[in-house]
Amino acid sequence: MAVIRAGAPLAAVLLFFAVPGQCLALGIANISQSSGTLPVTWSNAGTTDRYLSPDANDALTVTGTMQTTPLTGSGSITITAPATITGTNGAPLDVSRVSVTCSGSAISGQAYVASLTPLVPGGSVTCATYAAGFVSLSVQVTVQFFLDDRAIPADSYASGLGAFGIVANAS
Amino acid sequence: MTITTNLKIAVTAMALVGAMVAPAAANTVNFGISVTKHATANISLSTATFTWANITDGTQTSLAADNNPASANVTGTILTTYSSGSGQINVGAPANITGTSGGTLPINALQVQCTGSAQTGQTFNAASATALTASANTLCASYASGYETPLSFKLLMFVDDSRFPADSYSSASGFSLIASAT
Repeated sequence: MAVIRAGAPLAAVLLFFAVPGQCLALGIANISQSSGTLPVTWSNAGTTDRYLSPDANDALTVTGTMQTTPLTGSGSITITAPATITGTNGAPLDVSRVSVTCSGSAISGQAYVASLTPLVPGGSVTCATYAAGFVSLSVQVTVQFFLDDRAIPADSYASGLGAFGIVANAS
Repeated sequence: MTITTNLKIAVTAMALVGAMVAPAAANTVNFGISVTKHATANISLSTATFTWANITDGTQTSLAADNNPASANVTGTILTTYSSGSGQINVGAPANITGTSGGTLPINALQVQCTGSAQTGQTFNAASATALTASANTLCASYASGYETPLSFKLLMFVDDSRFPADSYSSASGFSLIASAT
């Protein structure tokens, strides 16, 4: 009997530490592209623009669900980029020549933090963040792209459609 | 047995807890980009007319124009394709010029010189006074692949005044500065 009593409190203690804020709300991040044309295209880059918009001002909008755990959770939407893109004649395109601005409807707990922010080669930049306890079934974020065409060698550059990513995370 | 059973319960509980305290989720929308930057050639010349207003002898084989060098600035952009492109600036000339009294100024009595500070990838082919050719182009400067430095140099003109009779010669048009890039 004494042995039986020794096991029960162990399980009870573990559950006690597990309950607060963790068991009741799992992070959920689920987005999909709702508008915009791929690839994002600049078909006639010049030599003088710091923030050149893509053809037809193309922007990508993603929509979806974002839910973060109360008190301790958080969420984000980030944009990932490859290290570099090589042109058809071998010229390197520095990915940090592409900048992004993230925008959308104002929702409490959501913040758009990228404004003409250069992408990071081989890394990511934060587009939007979400506070603990954020719940929305209709998150919508529009990502505008800009190209600094001033020091890009003349060439044709094309990344694969999977080279860049808009990544939603929630905990 | 009882100890084992309770340990299993505890371990199961721990596993459940482990699953529940790692609720992170993520998903990704992938995209790509396409950028095309074309070869570009765009130049301007700060003067429209080179003038020799008062030639008084016939002995100077390379007499500078009155507006050399202050007014003859070439500016603009040459952008050549990385690795495989090239560029040129040529001076186009008309046929020989006839004076108001019927004298003939042969075009090859005129010379051009293209000069300026050194830029990597830029070559002044007419670095010294170079005779023009009637109804043809004379190479002023050339550019290597991947060239993208803004242009800034002088286009100077000279005349060999020993090669034409006294008269007044004027060519309102017919000369040109031609930039090209691939």
